[in-house]
Amino acid sequence: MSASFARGCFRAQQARLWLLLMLGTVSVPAAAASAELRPEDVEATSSYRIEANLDAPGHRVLATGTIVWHNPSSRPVTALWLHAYLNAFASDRTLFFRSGQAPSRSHQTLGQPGGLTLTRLVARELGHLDLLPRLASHSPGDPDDATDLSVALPEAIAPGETLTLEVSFLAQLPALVERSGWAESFFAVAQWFPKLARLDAQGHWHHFAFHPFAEFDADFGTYDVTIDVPSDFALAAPGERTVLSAAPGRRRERYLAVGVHDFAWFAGPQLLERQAEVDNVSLRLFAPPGHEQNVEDTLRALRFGLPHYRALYGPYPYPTLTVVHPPDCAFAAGGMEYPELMTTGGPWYSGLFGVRAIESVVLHELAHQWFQGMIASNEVLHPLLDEGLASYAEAEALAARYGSGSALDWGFLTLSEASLRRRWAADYARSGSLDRPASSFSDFRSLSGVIYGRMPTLLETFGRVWGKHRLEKALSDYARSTRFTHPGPESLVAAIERHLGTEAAVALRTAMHEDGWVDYAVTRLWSRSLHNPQVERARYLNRVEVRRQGTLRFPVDVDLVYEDGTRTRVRYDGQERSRILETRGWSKIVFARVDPDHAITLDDDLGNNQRAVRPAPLVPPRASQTITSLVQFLLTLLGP
Amino acid sequence: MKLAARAQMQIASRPGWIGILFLTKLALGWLIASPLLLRVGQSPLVQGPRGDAALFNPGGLMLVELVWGDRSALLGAAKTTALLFGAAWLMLALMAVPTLVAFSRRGALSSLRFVHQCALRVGPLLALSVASLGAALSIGLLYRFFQRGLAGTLYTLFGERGSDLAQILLLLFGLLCLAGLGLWMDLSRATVVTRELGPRAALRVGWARLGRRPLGLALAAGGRLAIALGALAAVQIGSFHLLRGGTGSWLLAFGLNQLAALIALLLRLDWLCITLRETSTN
Repeated sequence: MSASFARGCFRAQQARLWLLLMLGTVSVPAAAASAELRPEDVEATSSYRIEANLDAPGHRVLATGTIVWHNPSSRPVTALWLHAYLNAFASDRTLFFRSGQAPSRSHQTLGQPGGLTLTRLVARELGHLDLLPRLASHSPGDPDDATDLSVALPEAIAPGETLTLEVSFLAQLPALVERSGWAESFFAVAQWFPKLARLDAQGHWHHFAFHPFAEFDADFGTYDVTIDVPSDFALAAPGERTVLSAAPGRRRERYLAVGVHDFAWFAGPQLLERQAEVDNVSLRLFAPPGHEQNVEDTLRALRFGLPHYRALYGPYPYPTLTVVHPPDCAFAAGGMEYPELMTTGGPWYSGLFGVRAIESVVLHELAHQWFQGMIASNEVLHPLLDEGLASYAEAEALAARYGSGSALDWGFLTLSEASLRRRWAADYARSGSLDRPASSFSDFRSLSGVIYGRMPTLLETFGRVWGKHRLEKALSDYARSTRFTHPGPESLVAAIERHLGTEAAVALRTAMHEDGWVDYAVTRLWSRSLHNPQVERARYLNRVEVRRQGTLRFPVDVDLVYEDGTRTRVRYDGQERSRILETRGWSKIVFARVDPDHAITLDDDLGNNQRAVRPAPLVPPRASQTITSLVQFLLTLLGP
Repeated sequence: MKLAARAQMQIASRPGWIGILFLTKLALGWLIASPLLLRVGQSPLVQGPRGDAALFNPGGLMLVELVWGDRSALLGAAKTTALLFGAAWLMLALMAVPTLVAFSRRGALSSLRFVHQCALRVGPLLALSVASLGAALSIGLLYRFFQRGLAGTLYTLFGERGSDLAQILLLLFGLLCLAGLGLWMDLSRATVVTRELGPRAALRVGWARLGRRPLGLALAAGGRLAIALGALAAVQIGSFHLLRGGTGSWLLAFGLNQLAALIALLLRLDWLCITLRETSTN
């Protein structure tokens, strides 16, 4: 165990004691207390020291090392649970490939298989007992899957006790399916080592087989990883880097990542490295030749994103951030997050034509450094806290940086991320509750519609209805108070309740646990002449029927337009299913629109939000002249 | 009715015919676009005092809502529009006959003689139009064949960015071939009118004329096309924000767009006059 590795573990123990004391004896706002937490203060439950050697022609990694684990729970532990994620790529019968209609996000099938073979598993504190014979051969109840393996211990590990596992393993990388594998000479080495499952304070193991839609839920620790690759390879890995002496023809680097819960690395001869410093964070950006513009766009997004997220969700606490832009042949490795490392992706021309493709993926993956990286929720059970919040943070940051052109900006025509996401969310209306396990979705498309589409759109609605500043405070509170912990959805609900009120908390709970949807509509409008205008001081009684369908309730405005061109705005609290709004005036009502400022972005159908007494012109004049003149031009090009 | 002197083959000689062509294209443009426009008009999103102005708002909330939310209906309408465009192309191929005849003759046109002259050339000109369409489709298919067949090789040879750039070059080459075909066909059509030749002979003469000064003709046609495209783009982009305004604003946008359409038509006719002049002498 190296000195810095040991120091990380020791500091973590100290921090844990300090935290317990603080929580038990001193009443301080949780946000203020945990916002001070630094990675080295975090409880190191599972720490890894690994020496890895990449055999590039054989597409495999040979590794040895130690895993230092201490029992963080209040109960003795008689069995360990190990994630052997790489076994997901052993055959097409594993849970990963059996699940859903589209097994992977990239829709790729298994090519050359891979897998994880443990060749040594020795428990140092148990008299150097060989645990390999005790290692289960497959996931519980699933002989075709070996990604979730138990190890029975001969004697219990008491609360607070430490167990050191000496390990050797061979990670045979598959042809790149999604996150792990090789493509040509590029290597994405993710989920490549035997990883301990998370044990909570009650002594319950959070273990699961590798499902294609979710993977993260692990304890924090220190990762001290030395990697040996061919000398012509660039190496991209998280943490502080030290270049070590290596055998001829090899490159050897050591990476130390403290206060993280995963470690992935990337290597290849075609990657060029660029370094920069943003917001006191050392950036290492890797991309193939020809992607200079993408690197520039990535850097620009990080220059905005790091201080922006720091202001909203607390500081980025790590000294480094590594960004990898995979080559075209490894596009499936793109758009992924790991602690202190993320991958972007896209062709070299992604930044051209006014499309914010690179900025979007960078701000999304960067948001994951908070939502899942530091705020380490269980992605498997609660993907809304991971992808849902990261998607909201991404959309919010894009809007803050680029305004109405946050998705596309051609100068004269702009499209916002919120517009696209709103429509996406509407396509998945009535698709069930937000808070459910990733595996409960039939395919990745429906998961993305609900989690990436509806969750951020719900939060956007909260911001527009109850105030963006209040929503920011709620998310800031949630992010800072749960930093370096494993929060559940109730932490988010509590923060929303504190800052946006009970009504918002009820709406969030409803959306999380029921099928949360809403559709406002103007169903009727009519006018009646008053018998005695002089006495009534009005000639007409105007009525508008507004209806709310769905399980969610939001107060909305209703705009009323009269025959003489005047307008009034009235409020509908949205509590009742329908309401007839009445006004009196000298002119008949001709038009009504509910939610004229589009505050309820979650509204499933904007088409029924307005109603007019007179029908609109048969042909819309503006669209007509635009499309017609384009057709005229084409006719001139092709005809006389 | 005699062939006009070379100097008289100017667009200014037939303002009435220009007016007929402009109005025909305006009507055809509206007719072709109508399935899409009627579909947009049926959307409740364009109801209300601002009508379809909301479609052009920054951020594109309503535009996305319309295009994405109503995509299947809009796709159906787009198919009808494509069919109508095909029919309009046929009609314009027919209209090319009187247009070329009108600009190639001098003095007042007697209806009977004019119809007779047109009737004599309608067969060869339509044959050339069909041949032109066939050749354009062949170029398209060849491009597709090479584009798919070479993709792997280009990637191996030039890498990710290099192969994309090579693909773009291949596309530009395809477009260049199409442009060359257009020049040749325009000259051949003009030859049918000015020299009263059949389609084969006209193609030969057209090819020879193109070969005599290819750069000059390409610049003449390309320059006019570039000006027309520039005018269209400038007006479409420049008037976009006007569409968010009231009736006066969009009427101004309409006027500007029609001005661009008229400029494009005049430049196209001017080019056709050049082809007539080019082919009227030995």
